[in-house]
Amino acid sequence: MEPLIKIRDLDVTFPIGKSGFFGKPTAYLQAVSGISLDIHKRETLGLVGESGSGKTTLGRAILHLEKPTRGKVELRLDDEYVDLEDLNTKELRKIWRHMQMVFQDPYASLNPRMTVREIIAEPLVVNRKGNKNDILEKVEKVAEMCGLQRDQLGRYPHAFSGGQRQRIAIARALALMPQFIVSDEPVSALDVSIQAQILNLFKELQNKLGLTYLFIAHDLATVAHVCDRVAVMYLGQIVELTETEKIFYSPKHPYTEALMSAIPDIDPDRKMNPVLSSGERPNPANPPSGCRFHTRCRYVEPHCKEVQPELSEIVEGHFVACHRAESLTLQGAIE
Amino acid sequence: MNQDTLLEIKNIYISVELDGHSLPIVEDVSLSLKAGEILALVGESGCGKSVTAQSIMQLLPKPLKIESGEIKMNSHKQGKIIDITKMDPRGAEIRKIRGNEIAMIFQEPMSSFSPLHTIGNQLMEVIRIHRKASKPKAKAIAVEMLDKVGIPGAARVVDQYPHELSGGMRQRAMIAKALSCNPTLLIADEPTTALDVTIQAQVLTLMHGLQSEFGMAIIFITHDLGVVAQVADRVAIMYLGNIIEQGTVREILKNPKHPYTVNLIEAVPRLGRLEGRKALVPIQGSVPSLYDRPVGCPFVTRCTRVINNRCEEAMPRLLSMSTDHQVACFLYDSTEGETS
Repeated sequence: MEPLIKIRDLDVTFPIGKSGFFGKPTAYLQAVSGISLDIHKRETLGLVGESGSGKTTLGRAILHLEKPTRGKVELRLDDEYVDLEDLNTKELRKIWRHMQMVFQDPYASLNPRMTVREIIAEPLVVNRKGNKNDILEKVEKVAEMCGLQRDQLGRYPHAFSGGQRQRIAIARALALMPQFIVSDEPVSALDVSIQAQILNLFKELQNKLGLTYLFIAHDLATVAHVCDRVAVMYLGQIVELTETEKIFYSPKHPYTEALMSAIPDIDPDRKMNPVLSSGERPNPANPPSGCRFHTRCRYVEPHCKEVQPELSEIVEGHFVACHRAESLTLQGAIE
Repeated sequence: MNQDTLLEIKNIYISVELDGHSLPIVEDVSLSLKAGEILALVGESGCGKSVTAQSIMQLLPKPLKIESGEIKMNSHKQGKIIDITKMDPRGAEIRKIRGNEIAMIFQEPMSSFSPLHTIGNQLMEVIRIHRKASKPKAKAIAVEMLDKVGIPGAARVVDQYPHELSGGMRQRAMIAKALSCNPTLLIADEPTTALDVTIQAQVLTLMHGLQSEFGMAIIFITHDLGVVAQVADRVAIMYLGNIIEQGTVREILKNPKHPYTVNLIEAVPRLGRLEGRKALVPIQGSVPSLYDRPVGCPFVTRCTRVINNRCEEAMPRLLSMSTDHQVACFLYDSTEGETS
């Protein structure tokens, strides 16, 4: 089946440091480096990795909220691929009807001076989706789908709890009936007892509307629960990508092993046995030569310091960027 | 107070002054901690877990006040039992305790180090005040502590500023600072929440190692049940300013009794359930605000097993289920109509 989104050799580079106020940047930070990825229709693709690994930048670059410095992103629309690179701002706005984003902090991402009805209606109004009555009708429909009551729509965001606010943010993202949603840490600002409500809502909406998600999160247990496939990022690159079960229980990349073995399980009889990676995370502005993980890898060989491993498919559907992927036996999360 | 008990909190009641009203934020909480024990204090934001911990050091911010109750500590360094609630928060007595017998580490190490002083100076300050060491001696101790918490090149790091260290290293430096006076009690307020999972595992392993080396007791505040299962001996679950269940970690996590604890465990995604990937069972509603504190049991508005005419009327007592398992719920309280 043709993927919904094709990402090829994507780079995002930020200038850092300046020589004087009007000076040229002295260095560049490659936040996303040479990422190629297919996202299939109706799947939930998880994106994990430590902070600063470029997860959010990749999510934003896919939507072209952040202009990639190299590479391309294509979205499949009516059996044809649209290259986002070719579009100007006006045309991008049209594409964003099909691709939306839900942010981490529902306290910061909703305008406090707008009522919930206005917040959810805004994308519809901007995109001129029908007259006033049509829009209001659509707002009510999508709000109901996200578990908001009709009599709550006239209120302002401050009257809502974190979980309710995230429902509002999701309703706003869904108002234009997009196909693809990037959700950046959608539950990590919420209380534990509320997270489950929102995770279930994501699943429910996916079943009902056939949505495709890119789910960025650092909580691995949550990722395991909601994602079909998971991509692990390290210093701007994808080091491993495959189905959730394989990533968690039979990882092939030493960094994935370090992540998975460090998940604290809620069962006190299953003590974690973390495979600790030594050393410090390198400066992303000055990544190590060869394999970027070699400074912390416990299986490092001289070869790794010189040649950068490609992300290659070692078994069908299992992509790993490691020279030793096929010879290593690694530990996964506790089963 | 028992000989091997280190800390005993008895019926502590803390209120907050808001718009001229005094609202309870911690209600009648009692806790006890043995020397060398790791107790986890678990709950969602606003349940009073941090406030309870802060009260132990008399560090409550302005609008908060200890109304009643006592916090007694078996001071090894002074060789007597002291009552912390009787101390002036700005007095000399509590200063002898803070940083010396009780130390605290916080969630965000960047905000608890001064950006203007080197790591070494900040460690030496504590050491010089409490251990009466000379400057060179204090510096030697500082380097030794940094080395102990696994900071590579401690002799160099001692002269660096906090911004030069990564998050994980800063957290280690803060632990070094907290342990530099060999406290008998360490209060750790969400020490790993801001860290990545691999770094979290390192810090937890480190804390466990240091705990067995120094033999101090730890109060570990967290909302992550996974972390609780991995590090703590005992756990107290808090909800809206009350301890609703407490006991040994194994007992509480494997055999929870209070509907809130049961639901909380059900609501958390877990790896073991990967095969089925059933929908999670969420807890309905959300935590009421301080203004809307329900009468009776604090969980009554979200509970699925409410007993009519009981739960809405009175706060259930903390009852013993077994030697080390107490729960405050009317489902397990057969005595009719009696309240305390």
